[in-house]
Amino acid sequence: MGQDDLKKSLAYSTVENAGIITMGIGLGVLGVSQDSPAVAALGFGGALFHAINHALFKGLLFMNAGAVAHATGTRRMSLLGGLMKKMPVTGALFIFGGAAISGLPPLNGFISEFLIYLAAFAGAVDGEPVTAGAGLAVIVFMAVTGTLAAAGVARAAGAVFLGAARSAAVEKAHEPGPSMLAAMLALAVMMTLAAALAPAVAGLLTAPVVELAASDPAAVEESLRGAADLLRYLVLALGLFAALVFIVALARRAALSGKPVGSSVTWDCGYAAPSARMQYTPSSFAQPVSEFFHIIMRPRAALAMDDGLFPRRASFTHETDDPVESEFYRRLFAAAARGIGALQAFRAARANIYIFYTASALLALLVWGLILS
Amino acid sequence: MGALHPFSLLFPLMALALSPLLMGVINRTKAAWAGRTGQPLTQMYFDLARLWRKGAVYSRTTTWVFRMGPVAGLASALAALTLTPFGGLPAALSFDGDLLALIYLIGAGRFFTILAALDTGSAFEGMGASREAFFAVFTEVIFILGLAALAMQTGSLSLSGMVATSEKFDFAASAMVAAALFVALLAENARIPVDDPNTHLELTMIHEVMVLDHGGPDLALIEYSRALKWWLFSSILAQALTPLPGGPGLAVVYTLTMMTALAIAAGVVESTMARLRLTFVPQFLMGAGALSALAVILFLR
Repeated sequence: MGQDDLKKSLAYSTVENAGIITMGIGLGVLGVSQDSPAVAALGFGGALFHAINHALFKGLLFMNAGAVAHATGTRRMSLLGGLMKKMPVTGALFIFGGAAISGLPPLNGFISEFLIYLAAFAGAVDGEPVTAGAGLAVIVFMAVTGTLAAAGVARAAGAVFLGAARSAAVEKAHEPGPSMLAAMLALAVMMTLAAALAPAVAGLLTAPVVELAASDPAAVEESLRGAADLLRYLVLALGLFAALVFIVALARRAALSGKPVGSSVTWDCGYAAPSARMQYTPSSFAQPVSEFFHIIMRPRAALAMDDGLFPRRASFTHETDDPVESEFYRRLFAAAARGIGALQAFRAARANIYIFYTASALLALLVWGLILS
Repeated sequence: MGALHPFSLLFPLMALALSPLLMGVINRTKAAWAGRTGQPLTQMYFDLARLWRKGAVYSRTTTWVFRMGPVAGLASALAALTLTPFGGLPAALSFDGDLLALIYLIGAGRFFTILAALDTGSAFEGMGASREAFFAVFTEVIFILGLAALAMQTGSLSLSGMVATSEKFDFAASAMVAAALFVALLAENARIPVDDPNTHLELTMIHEVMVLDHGGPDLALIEYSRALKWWLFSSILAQALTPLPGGPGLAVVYTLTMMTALAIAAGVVESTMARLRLTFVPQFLMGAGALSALAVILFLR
């Protein structure tokens, strides 16, 4: 939510999805240890399915981000905006992949998250206290991360592709070449297939899941068959949603046909000269979240203003660094650099010294070999 | 595991036909409380028809995403309605975990509404979108935990199964779930104390400010899906609140009565309470989330 670099924000989303996969595996392991084949099958099955899905949509999203970085020369979301007009295919595919990665229907990300959720619900309803507790924890975490992921994706898509351009970097942007577009489209098609053929995918996962949940193969297989049956109904519901979008869109078009359809500026309370700088920035979009989680996210705000009754100049910045990066890794690597710096004394820019090091190392090895033999 | 009940497609149709009436009930309650006569109960039908007949004006900043928002919103509400049981009768489409599909369908509608708001490039709509995205974190947890409590109470993973079995009814836990779901109902449908549907100051709005730039048929779609969402959530709450009386006919009438009562309750809340300061909303919603969590703990064996 706080990250301004488009690719870094996708990397954080990978951490989130790895967490979801791990929760699925955790439920699977718990199902095996607590003799609950349904939880085991759904947990492992959901985790494997989500790993496949994540490979598809994360690949797509990184290609989108690459296309944006190539076209504009920047990955900073706060400098972008309005790219949908210059890169309509890339933008549409980013929203497509983004909706899937947020686990939103009717796409494939929802289906694998659904299986993990179902494992958690099955554990909560039927399981021993330990499975039930874990299941409920997974339900809460999935709900929180799911909504935050959707907010993060909406923020990125909004900042990069929607609204108006925030800097000149956007002006000369263009769609990537046909081979890049073809690769992105191929991934989107595979995502659609993974969603539409979800029951078959669940069937394909039977062998590895049975292998993972080795305790009771027959019961696990039975549970997976049940899950595949269930997914048929789910896919039907999702297909219905997609069809309804189409039908409502047609109805809207029919309602507007023959009516006056005009264009104007965005409503800004009647303000006469709205500019792109008045848009909500990605940082302001994230502000409620970054303030709520301020203990973790540590947002920094700085307000500078001239004194007096009519201040002429004012500036405000609001940034969110990653404290893990700035506090933990930076310190770790600084400490490592200091430690390694002590070895600097042995470095010399003269060949004869290095030949001396090599010769003495060989001699030492020779002596060591003699002692061993 | 799952079942189809084509006959139950009548329920989404009933929602399409009657949901604007519930909005009328809320408005009439508020009017009566304020000593006014108020608009006719059927006012929203006229409003929708009027909007549907209009043309539209689009901002030059917007793209197809802006036009997609209202469409996805209505489609998601309709799809979710086919998963919603009514009067204890199973939904048209029911399967284990359908409650998740329902919650996430509403989430998809919200996602596209937020994108449509961001597409205008307006600071106001960005503000509303940001708040909507943030508060959704809480309402979704309340809903999922509340429904998890119902699932644990009834031992069923589908909504239709949950409302059909009422033997294991536990008053204390159900009251907590009902209170939590009522808060989520108000928050999710942009009512006081979280959001004020009647406010005229953009800076204080949440849902209303996200749709400032929509007009004509687009606004009609948004208003209609809002009425449908209210119908959807209040019908689930009405069926979870108390055990349903026996006999399908009686149970349907009972559910409709409870939904009217909930609409009146919302009108009373709206008349007697001021909306909360925005910074207090997370605490308010977390309180409801805590109630859901408590109910879940009560059902842990």
